[in-house]
Amino acid sequence: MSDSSHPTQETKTYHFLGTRTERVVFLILLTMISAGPIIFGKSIPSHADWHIHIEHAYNFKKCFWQEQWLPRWLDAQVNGYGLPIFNYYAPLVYYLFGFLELIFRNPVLSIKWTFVIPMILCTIFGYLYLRKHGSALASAIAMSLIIFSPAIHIFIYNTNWPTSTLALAFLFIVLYAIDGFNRNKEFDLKSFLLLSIGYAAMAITHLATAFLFTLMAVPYFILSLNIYRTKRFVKFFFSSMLMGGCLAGFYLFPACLEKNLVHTDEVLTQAPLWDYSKNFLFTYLDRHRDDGYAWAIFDHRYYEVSNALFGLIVMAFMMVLLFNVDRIKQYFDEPFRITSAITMFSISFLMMTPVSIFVWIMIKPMQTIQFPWRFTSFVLPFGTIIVVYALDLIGKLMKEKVSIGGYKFLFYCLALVFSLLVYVDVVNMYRWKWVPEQSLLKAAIYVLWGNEEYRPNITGDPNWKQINFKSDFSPSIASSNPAADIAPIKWLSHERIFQVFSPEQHQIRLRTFYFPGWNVYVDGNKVDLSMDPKYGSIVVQVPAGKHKLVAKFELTPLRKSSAYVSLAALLIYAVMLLNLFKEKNLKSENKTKNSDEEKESINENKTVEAGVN
Amino acid sequence: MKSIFVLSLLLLTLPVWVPDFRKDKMTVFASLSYYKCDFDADKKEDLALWHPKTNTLYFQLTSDGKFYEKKFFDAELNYSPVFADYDGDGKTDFAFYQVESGQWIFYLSKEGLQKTFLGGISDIPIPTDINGDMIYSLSIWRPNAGLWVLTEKTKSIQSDDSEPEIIPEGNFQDSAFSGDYDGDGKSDLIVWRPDDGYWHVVRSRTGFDFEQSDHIQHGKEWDIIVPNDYDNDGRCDLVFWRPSEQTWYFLYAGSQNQNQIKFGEKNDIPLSADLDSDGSPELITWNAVKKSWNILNLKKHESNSYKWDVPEGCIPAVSIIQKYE
Repeated sequence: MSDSSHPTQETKTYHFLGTRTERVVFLILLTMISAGPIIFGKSIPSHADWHIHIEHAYNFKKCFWQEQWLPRWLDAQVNGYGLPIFNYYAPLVYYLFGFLELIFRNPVLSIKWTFVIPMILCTIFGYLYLRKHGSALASAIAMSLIIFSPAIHIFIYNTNWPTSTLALAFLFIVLYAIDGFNRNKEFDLKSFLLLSIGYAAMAITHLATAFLFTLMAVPYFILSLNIYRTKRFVKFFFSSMLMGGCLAGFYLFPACLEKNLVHTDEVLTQAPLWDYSKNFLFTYLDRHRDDGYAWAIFDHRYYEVSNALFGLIVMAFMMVLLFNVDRIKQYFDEPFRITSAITMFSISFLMMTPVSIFVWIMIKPMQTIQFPWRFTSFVLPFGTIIVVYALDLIGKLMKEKVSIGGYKFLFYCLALVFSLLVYVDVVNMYRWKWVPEQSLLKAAIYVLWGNEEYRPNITGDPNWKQINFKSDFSPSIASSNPAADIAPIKWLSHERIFQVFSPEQHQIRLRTFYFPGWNVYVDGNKVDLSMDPKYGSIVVQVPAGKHKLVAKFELTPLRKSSAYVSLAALLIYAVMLLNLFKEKNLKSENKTKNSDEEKESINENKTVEAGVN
Repeated sequence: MKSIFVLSLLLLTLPVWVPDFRKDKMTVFASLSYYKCDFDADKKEDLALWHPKTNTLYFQLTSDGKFYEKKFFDAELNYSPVFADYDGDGKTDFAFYQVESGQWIFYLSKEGLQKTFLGGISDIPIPTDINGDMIYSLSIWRPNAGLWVLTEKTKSIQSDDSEPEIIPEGNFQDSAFSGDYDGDGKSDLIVWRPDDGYWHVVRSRTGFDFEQSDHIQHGKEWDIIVPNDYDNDGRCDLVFWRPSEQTWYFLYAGSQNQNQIKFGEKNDIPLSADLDSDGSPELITWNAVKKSWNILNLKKHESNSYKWDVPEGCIPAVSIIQKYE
């Protein structure tokens, strides 16, 4: 018992990031420093395809408000021939842009925040993920590495659109859900809901990241199975992945199953090997500043150096762990998680380097993701948890009063390496010209992307690439009868209505690519479509006289059924989510009941004791 | 909590019911008043406003001083006025460009209603007079290809089957217009690039050879170009209005002299028109909030302001306006 007349004097020593407030401020500050140039600068950094994505965003928004709620068809593309881009391209970032436009009504500001929000989400979800694996202090320190990592900082400032950054935020959720699986529960509803929504969100944000995750999920599943060793985990894992797939199905299924309708595979996987292999990490490319808009996306000098510095930090911490295997077993409940992290980090890292070239050549579908450097997104979470584990281990060693002078020296050296990483990030940010604001607006309305990847391949013309649509000035609608009168009545991205009159039967050509989903109705009756054999545009026969011609882009059976699958999955998800909340409410009610009962019994005891006294 | 959720949902769905919320603030890049706006052929230009929502034109004729309101189209389509004299009778013809389908609709004084298709989504319609006969023809500039398509449609829009002339010039960042920069009576093709402030002039007398074009640095990002023949020397002067300073910057094509005049308010749309037939156009700004015209007569050194009772969202139709919204 302590003597109340001589209260003990607790000496409060300061610990860096010792309080939650301090950690929150630290993370906000780092994120602000990282995102500051975009928030406070005039515009966004420019690189390879920036203007294309700005145009996509503008047209996506335009089509959305024309009530094409998933704007699969952008009518402006290929100079008015249109493309089914968002039948294939993940739309979530574009929805984010559209949403921000509602708030700001200013495209420049909206674009800037479309870049910044994924960065903020990466900080939040990244911290939650790290915190799952280690102490608050170690997680906060490791977060600085995430915020200035090549996968986030270089991607944001040196690519053209924040899709992979937003997907990375969802990757953190997915890994959080897997690593947080509760094997003691019959069915871990919370982890199920987190994994499925994270996977779905990842798929509709960046298909390449979701595809890579699906591949990486194989070794990660096996490693996790070794940790959980229960059938419940197998059930959880596959059911939540399936649920995630179904939630994203409205986009995911057509994107995967209708690939044969466009030139995607042909464009992406039949490129010469050199084109492909130059996108490995550590492939020296001395790119001149003026060549910066090449499709290789990155200026490799900065990208590679930042990856090397990041890798160096992770590897140094990995050494700390490897030299203390006995201590790991002593201090960590699940030491295999460290083995798992090291294995996943090594696989991801090697997949970025030319060492993995044979894997890429052998597994042809992998080539559709185009760039081996996409594995940077996976190096990041696994690399940083290695850092968290190592920092926590050092913390434990300190408590053992083991001499940690060597570790301190290592830590300062790595802090220096981290400063270099930040320096490379800063140099990289201002290496390229930033987009002038007015150019950004003009790109939105005037750049009509003619990308070959999503061009319908229905004509079967082997020389399809040779047509220059930019200098094709054919009318948007033309009749075979020059005397025909054509009056546009309505023009939306997915629906056009014309009134046509011709004294004789005539053929109408629409300057719109034929793609499954397009239907034409003459006076309300669906008519057979044919195709201009050269351009692949819609051609339709119209009888003599005055007629109302309606061309509509409608859902195919696949797109419709995918939408229904997603709707059903969403309803099930909502019900499960409600159940989870009910479960939580019940638990908290029980807790309060129990604590009330405890209090009551204590009071009763006290009264009894007082009565006795 | 529930009420906050419902309120947020309502706010989020507001744009579905109020289409104006779906639009961004309008940004004007170029205001082309060079092609005149004289509907009654009295040599005095007429002020006109276009209401895109209802496809209605509001204008006042200088000959009778009366106001007119004319609804041109019932269809829910976007039309832009491209007024110019397309039949050479000295009267400005009502001409419109349907921005998605690329249909041009003319109400010619002599031949009545004429229709044709030229251009499409994102193409910019610009009248040109490439043979110097004082009759404007249809042309478009395609920003993403950096190409002009010039036609010689003069007498009858429908009957002209001649192949259009295609001239490469410009980039998607540019603002484009045609004007007689060298005084030979024919339209030169001009683009202005806000990134570096350069005007690139491809002259008709060189056969529109870009290699022989002029490159003149004048202006910077966010300036709105308002080219016209301000000194009445028969040459189109390179002029812009800087909204941040509300200042007009002149670079006269003939003398190469420069001049600056502060006139207008921050959110105005600038344009110019010769309202009193003295040969030199007045500086005009339209204030959409106050619904007022502000006119500065350079020769008389006097300024006037007129309020018009028109619906919200009207834009000057004296000019062909290149804009983002």
